[in-house]
Amino acid sequence: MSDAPSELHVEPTSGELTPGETVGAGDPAVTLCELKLAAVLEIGAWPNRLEAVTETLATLCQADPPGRPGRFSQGDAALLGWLAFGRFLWLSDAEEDATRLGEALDTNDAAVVDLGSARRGVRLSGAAAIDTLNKQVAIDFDLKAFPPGSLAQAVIDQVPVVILRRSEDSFDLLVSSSLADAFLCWLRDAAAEFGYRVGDPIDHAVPRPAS
Amino acid sequence: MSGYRLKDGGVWIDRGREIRFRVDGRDATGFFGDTLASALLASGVLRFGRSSRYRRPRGVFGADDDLTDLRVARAGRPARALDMAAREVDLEADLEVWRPSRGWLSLPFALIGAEALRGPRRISCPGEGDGVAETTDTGNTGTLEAACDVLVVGAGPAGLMAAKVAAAAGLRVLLVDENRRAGGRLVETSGRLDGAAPHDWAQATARALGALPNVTMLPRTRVCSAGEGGVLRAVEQGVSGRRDWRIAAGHVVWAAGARERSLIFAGNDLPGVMLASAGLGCARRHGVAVGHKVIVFANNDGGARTALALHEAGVGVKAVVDMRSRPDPALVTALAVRGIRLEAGAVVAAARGRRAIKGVDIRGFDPRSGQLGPNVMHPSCDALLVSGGWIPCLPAGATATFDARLNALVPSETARDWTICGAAAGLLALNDDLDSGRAAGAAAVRACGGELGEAPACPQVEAGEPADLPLGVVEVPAQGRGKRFLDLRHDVTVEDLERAERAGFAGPGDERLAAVLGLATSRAGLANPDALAVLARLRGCSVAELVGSSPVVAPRGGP
Repeated sequence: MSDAPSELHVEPTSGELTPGETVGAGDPAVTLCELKLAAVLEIGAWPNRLEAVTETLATLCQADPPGRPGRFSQGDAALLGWLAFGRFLWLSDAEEDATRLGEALDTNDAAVVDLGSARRGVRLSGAAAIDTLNKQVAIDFDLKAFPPGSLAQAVIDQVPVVILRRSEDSFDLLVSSSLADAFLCWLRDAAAEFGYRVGDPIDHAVPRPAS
Repeated sequence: MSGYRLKDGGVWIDRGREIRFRVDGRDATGFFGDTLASALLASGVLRFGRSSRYRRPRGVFGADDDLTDLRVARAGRPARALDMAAREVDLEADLEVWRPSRGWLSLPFALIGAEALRGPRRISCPGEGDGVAETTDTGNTGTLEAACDVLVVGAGPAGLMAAKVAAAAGLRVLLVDENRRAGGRLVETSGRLDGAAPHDWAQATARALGALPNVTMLPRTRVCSAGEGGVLRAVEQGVSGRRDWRIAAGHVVWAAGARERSLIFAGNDLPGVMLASAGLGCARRHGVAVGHKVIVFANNDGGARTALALHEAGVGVKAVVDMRSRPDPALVTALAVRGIRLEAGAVVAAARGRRAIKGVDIRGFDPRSGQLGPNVMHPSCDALLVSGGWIPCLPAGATATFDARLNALVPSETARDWTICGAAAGLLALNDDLDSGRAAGAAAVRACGGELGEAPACPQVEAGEPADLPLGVVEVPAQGRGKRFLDLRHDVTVEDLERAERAGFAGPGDERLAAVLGLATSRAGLANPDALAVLARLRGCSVAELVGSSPVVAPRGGP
């Protein structure tokens, strides 16, 4: 067993991620951390205004546009993902971004929906992170096929999940708050084979994680 | 008691690490690297289970197929009991093994209702046997998705070469093999590869491949079905339990090898009767002799070669019975020099014994007329190794044609755009095997759009054995009342097939006939080609004519 206190070797049943919770013998190959996301926004652009909206978002994000659906760009204070044609994801550590984007984008160009309370984020990292995801996700996580900066939408255990690859072995997972408990139950079960540890919540989720 | 541990030999075991286990409440020992099957054989256990249809005693039949009659239930987690073949179970310390009860002795208990006290019975297929061993297995560990450019099925010589070529071109390669170690039958192969023993070459090649970042090795994994979009399903029998894989592959190289074929004679299911490759595999892999007085029965030169190899390993070989009247003169001389009796132009007409083989009836045989000679010899023996040639393992969906030279079905084309190579393509000689693997690797690179630079060269083969081409006869006429089995798993006999023929079942493609042969559930492994041979004899035609009259679906070997 790991060095964590015995009371933290819990039988995982709840959807809460308790820092220090450890499962498995030896060094855990997976770390789970709650992401504290201040702003989670989804932007829907009209088809004929896609280019303009993309440029505006990239300017606000202070980063290059993602380039194509399935990619995200990393700015200093925000992360801009291109979910699908005309649909963007905005993650930021600043709560006021919902208002800021609403003001910056004309309603004739795009619609901004605040999903801050409707999404929950988990960072999955470690040597067995890919193996854990591959228990349900049929995505080729090879670095050539799905490099850092890639995102995908998948269904894991019947729960829709947005997967963002932040580094070689670190993934941010966004799930609906109402289904988060069920998803975390699955995640714990899947990671238990490799051994996992719950780390401290991450207050600033946008900066690139240290590999 | 017939099997025993040889004084030396066994490339898979570590004689310095003894493992104690229990069989039917008795203490037994094995070595690290043993499988449950090899440890039981080394402990003198021949009977592993009973067939369900006839309740006949059954033992190990093949070393590398799934027809071992002992099925084990691993019960680490009560709710997730897992069935495995004995050859797939690693010997563990303190392993407890129970063999099934004896059929007739359990009758009185059944009559007084004691059977009900034994708890729920495991439902098994006819012929499967019902031995149970309990281990500390953790059961099924779920499903994993995987993706690769090239999936190589089989880590024998052809598979290793194909993987080497594809990996050298920078493609992502997934190398899957159902055995624990790479090399396939190279452990049992004579000669040298690049100056090393074939098995050592395979291990070195596998290690080199495993060290590459673009190669993933999956031992103990069997590809079992192929779905839409090129996604294959595989089952890994890992140390900690079973895991399902769904593999998305850009291209598939099928190098699943070939399986040795049995011969059909009365009592060919008795414990102690096994494939020649199984007997030799026990000696070479685990240092286990299958008997003190071994008789080899074959219709090809492989039988004599097996006898010589066993003799060299220290196993007592009593005689070789060869269906052919004129075996290879060099082998005849070699047998004579070693004092091994050769009965050429003869067959084992029946195996004798109740719970295990005690001896055989040897009679003269004319392959052209199919008639047995009048004189009978009754030598005793405690193991009979049979070899009826080799059957390529084909992927289902492959269109197969009959090759009279091999007396087997060989692939003509695949339903999917796969590359079939090596022994699976009917290339049994080691040189051809390696060359076709290299060519398959190159084909895979081209199929994936990769750049084929200078592909790795095949190893130099020294003193390699030629392909064992069998006589086109596998069936010995019935003698007495002994049952001649076509399918041990489902207890299907020649008489069953004769009844089906009298009932007017159409042919190899007839589903009712398939059901009789057990093809409907498991594709019946060894049974199918033997059944085709019997069916051809009943209809008075050749197998080629029989096959030509209706399409043949590849009988087994994977998806």
